[in-house]
Amino acid sequence: MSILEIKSSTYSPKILFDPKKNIYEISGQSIPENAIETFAPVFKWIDENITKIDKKIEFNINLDYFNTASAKILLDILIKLEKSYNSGVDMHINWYHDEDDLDMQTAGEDYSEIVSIPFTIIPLKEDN
Amino acid sequence: MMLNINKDILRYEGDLDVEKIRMLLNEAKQKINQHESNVSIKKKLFCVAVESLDNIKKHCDLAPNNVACPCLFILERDEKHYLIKARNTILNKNILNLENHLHAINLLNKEGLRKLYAKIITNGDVSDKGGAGLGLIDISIRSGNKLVYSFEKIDDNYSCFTLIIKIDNL
Repeated sequence: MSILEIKSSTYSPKILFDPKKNIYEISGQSIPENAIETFAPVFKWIDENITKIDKKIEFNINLDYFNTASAKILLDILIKLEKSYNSGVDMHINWYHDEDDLDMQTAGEDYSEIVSIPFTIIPLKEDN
Repeated sequence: MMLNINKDILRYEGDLDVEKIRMLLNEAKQKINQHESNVSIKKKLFCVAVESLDNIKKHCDLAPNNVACPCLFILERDEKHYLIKARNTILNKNILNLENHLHAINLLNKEGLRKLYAKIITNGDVSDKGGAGLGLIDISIRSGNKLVYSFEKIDDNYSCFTLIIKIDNL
């Protein structure tokens, strides 16, 4: 199993998928010029690693904001994960949002209605 | 409609590329933070700015001489609202589709917009222009108000498209 680690930038999120530490995280902001290119490593990592993980996977998504191109790619990632979930890989999505950011809360709720992976929407207080 | 403009927060007119957009977004973020304390409104403004600038850049079918309709981005505020104005040239042959899309968006309430968004995001692909066909819907949802728009003919091939997005102050 491999580790996927992409550092955040002003325009693209931090991505950390570390099976050894059991950390799976997409966080920060996502307004890249090319969302397909930005998230391509995620699809590759899922293809190569997801079925090898025998522990429950908690995916933590904590984005301040993302553009609509990123929104589409995020859904594609969730749909890809859903296929593995439906094949027996144990996983859960934790969707974090500023407690005052109702748009981000709604985005999480909308995703949770589209995919069958269990979702928890978690509001964060300002000092979190 | 006459507006009592209290503050012109950010204004840019001219060519747009990736670097220029990034510079504008940095400036917009700083100025939004200076002018607004509500987290929800700040994020709405920034996200609408992101999508608006993205739309201008991606759909700006530049006329050979763009003097008649230079790209324009304005963020301003009156007593009750923030306004984002975005302008770009458009090929006349693309106006009907865009106008139909905007009209359809304006007919929908928030729930209807969310359903349309969900439908497109699950069925559509990221286009060759890098967008996902969701930008105007996303803008409308975040705005909470009808989108105001106009087309002004430049010549037989091009028109000038202006979009005005209103976001309420609390």
